[in-house]
Amino acid sequence: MSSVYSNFEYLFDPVVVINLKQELVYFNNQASIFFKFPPRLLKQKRNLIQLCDSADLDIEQWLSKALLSFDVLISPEIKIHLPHDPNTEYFIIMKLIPVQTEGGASFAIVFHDKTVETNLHLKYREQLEELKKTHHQILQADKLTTLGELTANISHEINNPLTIAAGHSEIIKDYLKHPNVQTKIPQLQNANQTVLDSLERVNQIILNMKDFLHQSEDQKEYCDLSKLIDTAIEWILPTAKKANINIVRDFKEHSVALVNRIKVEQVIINLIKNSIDAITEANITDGEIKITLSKSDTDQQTCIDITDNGPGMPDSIKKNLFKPFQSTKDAGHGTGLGLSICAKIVESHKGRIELVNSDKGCHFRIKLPLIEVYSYTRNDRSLSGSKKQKRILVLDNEVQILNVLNVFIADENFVFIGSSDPTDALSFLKKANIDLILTDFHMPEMNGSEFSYKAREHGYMGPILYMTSSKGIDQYNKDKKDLDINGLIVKPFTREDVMKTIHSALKAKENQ
Amino acid sequence: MKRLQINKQILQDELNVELIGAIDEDADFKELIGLEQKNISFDFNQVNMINSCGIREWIKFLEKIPESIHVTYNNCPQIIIEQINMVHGFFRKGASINSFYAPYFCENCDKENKVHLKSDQVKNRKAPKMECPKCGEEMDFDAIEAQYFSFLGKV
Amino acid sequence: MNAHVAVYTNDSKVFEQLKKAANATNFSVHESPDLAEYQSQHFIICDKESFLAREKEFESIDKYYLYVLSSDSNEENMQLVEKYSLQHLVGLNDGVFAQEVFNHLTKAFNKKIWGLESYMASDAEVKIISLSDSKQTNEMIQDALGHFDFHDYFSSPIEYIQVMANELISNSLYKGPNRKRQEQGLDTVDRKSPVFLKGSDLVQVTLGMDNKGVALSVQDSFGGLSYDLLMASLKRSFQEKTVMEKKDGAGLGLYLTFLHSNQFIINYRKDFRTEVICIIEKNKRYKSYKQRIRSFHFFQEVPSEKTTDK
Repeated sequence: MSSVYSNFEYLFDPVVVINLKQELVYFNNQASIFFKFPPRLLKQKRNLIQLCDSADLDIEQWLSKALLSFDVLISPEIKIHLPHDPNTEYFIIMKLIPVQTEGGASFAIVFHDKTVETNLHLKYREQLEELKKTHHQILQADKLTTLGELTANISHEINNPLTIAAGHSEIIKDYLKHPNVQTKIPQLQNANQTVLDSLERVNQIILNMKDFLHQSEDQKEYCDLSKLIDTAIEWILPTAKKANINIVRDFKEHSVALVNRIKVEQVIINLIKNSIDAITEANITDGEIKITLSKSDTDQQTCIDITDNGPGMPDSIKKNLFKPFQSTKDAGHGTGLGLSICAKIVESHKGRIELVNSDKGCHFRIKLPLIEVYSYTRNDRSLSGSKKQKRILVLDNEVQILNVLNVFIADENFVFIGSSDPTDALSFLKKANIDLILTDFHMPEMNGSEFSYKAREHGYMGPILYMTSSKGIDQYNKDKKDLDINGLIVKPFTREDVMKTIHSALKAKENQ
Repeated sequence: MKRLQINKQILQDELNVELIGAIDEDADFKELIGLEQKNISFDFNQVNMINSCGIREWIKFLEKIPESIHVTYNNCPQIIIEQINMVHGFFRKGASINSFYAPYFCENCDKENKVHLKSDQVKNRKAPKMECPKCGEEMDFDAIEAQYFSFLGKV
Repeated sequence: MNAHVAVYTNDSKVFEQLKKAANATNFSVHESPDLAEYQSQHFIICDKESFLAREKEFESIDKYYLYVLSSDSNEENMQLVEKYSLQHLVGLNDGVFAQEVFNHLTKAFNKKIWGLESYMASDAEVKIISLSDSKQTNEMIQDALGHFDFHDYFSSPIEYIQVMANELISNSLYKGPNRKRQEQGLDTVDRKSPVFLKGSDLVQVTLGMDNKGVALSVQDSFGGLSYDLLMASLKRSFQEKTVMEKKDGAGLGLYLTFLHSNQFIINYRKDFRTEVICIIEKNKRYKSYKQRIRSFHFFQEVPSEKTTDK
């Protein structure tokens, strides 16, 4: 036996050698085992195709191409079937190594058997999918539980307007019986309006419930966090009232976040509900839950703090607080999934949830990244791999405008970076390369001119476009010279207004 | 019919206005008043109709644009050219008509084509020669030249 | 009314074409007869030159019976119409004018002036729309036009019919009701305000197409468009070519409609009904459509005469 071949005998991997005509000239012992042919039979095989077959790769063709390069080559992972065992799938990678033998130039093919690994991986993926599904179901179940627990009190909320509506339709009925019904038209209109308003209120409550249950899981939008928290409070308020607990809100700052509104509402409702349960259980009479909204400039985070004056939490529980099935509650009073789900939701927003203090009552803090950072990383990541996309910073204190522009701008493959706060936008401007700025003119903190002045001061040279009503035209006419403002989008605008202005401004800049 | 849609972009010293739909009595150009820059450029490409009251609304609007502002008309469709050849005032004195559509007929394909012409292609109210986009044969100008191009003398 | 028709022309080709067209009808044509014999109840066809030459003689003729043929420009023709209060001016368009004349003679002879029947073949495709709402007109017309095949036409009369329908329907929807409101001492409605007409006042729009052309008829039940009003409107528009600052229109609708039609026909009975009919003849070339000298016809129905509803 040639010394080249003898080396192959020591290997754990199956090896065959073929010549340039792709004829089998050698196989090691391991190959005989792998291909399930006794050496005697294996010797009779002329080429590789007679040993195995793959639907993923045309082995003969791959070899023909590979042999031309006379270089070490590795195949992709392929699925093969063996003639003796057609029902079993094997996963292999082939490594082709040029060797010199007595018969001249040949190739050794080393088979790396990945069957066990790949099967394990597939199984793992399958289970992961199942787990995801289960997680989704749990999330949904948690929503249902929350909704179920809140429903009793919400039904009271629905009853109120229904009673009003019923009462007023009675009034309408009476008026209609009036002999001089014409003279009662103003009263009839009033009563009718009250009925309509009450029904609208009921409709709104039901729509909220539907929304809560069915909103798309991945949809994120720019939300005014104070409004979001207020909605969450509105949900839980009947429950708190019943337990005689006061909910206090303290919004230090106006803050906008890019979130899945319903999910974040769910987190806040869960946290407040936990506090209510704890206070009720401890029989505390002057129960109070305080919700604070603030911003931390140092670590570019928005913080939502939920603090209660309940009994606090034993150390034993703190350790595994955010793990599933941890509960301070008795059986039948909650799934114990609440906090772990809350943590998952907040993490999916690139945020964190932490227990700040639990000695005197509980103090939870939700930290969410500022939107500039979040929308930047989110959009830029999703576009990584494609050619460099233009980055557009949009500054507007109205979330609806940010959401609308996000759709317009992202649809045309720009990176959309939303901001509702000029100071944050400026500090962000330093860190990222922005290709165009679109700024609202009238903002509470500073107006468009002041912002643009500072942006230019920071060294930003790109185009700046204003967004304002037609009343802002004079300011634009002044600033276009003083601050090199490149265009104006007049509110109310259409998609074409926005996109054509952006495209033209970018093009003009390129041509400069 | 939907009300005339007006898209507008302000870039540097230019107000670009794109009109979409029908210019009729409901056309409201109010939103453009006061936004004037040194130049206003109108794009009529997507205007599908203009009626007499629409012409009136348009003329009233033109009167409100300060005289110092230069007005440009782009991509005027044939139906607009037709109507404005019959009525005075659609074009403002001193305005530029950049481009418009004109009918040509290909005998070979037995088909009419609306050709986009730049105003400077029309010399002495003579239609420029055009080839059929389909067969390459020279097409006939399919209107009365003196009549069709009379709008060019109105500015 | 008499089936003997007097023709005055110095152009023998014109007479020949008229004679040929008359053969297919019950009319017989007579070349330059003594006008005295044709003074009353006879139709008279004459070209513009012959008309001007006998201007004085024609003064006493009832213009209902007089058809003047002209190859002058539309503007000059309308000046002629206005000056002599002509009710029929036929564009002297080779090949089609004779047929057009006898079509109208038949219509006048039968005293059936309303509708498209006189203009469309019996197998014509017809769409009828009743309109009450000013803000729906364009959609409804667009929708109706979608049913016709304009394959053999320049591209495209749809746009012209759309404009004509828009102008005429607006006139019907605003002018008629406004006249009523004025009579009642009420304020008139401007074109920006939507109007809704009640059942008996609906505006009826008819679109028809046969192998010769496409026709639009807009009929209202107000009967407000008298000959004098029509002439005043056209005269002003031709002279000034400018918009007017009136509440119920810009004063150009009839003028634009006239210029967009090949044949422009008004049927009118005071306080009862106005119908405007616009015909565009089948034509693949836009240039031919524009070159065609426009024809104008005004038919007034006198109630005592006969009310032949269609």
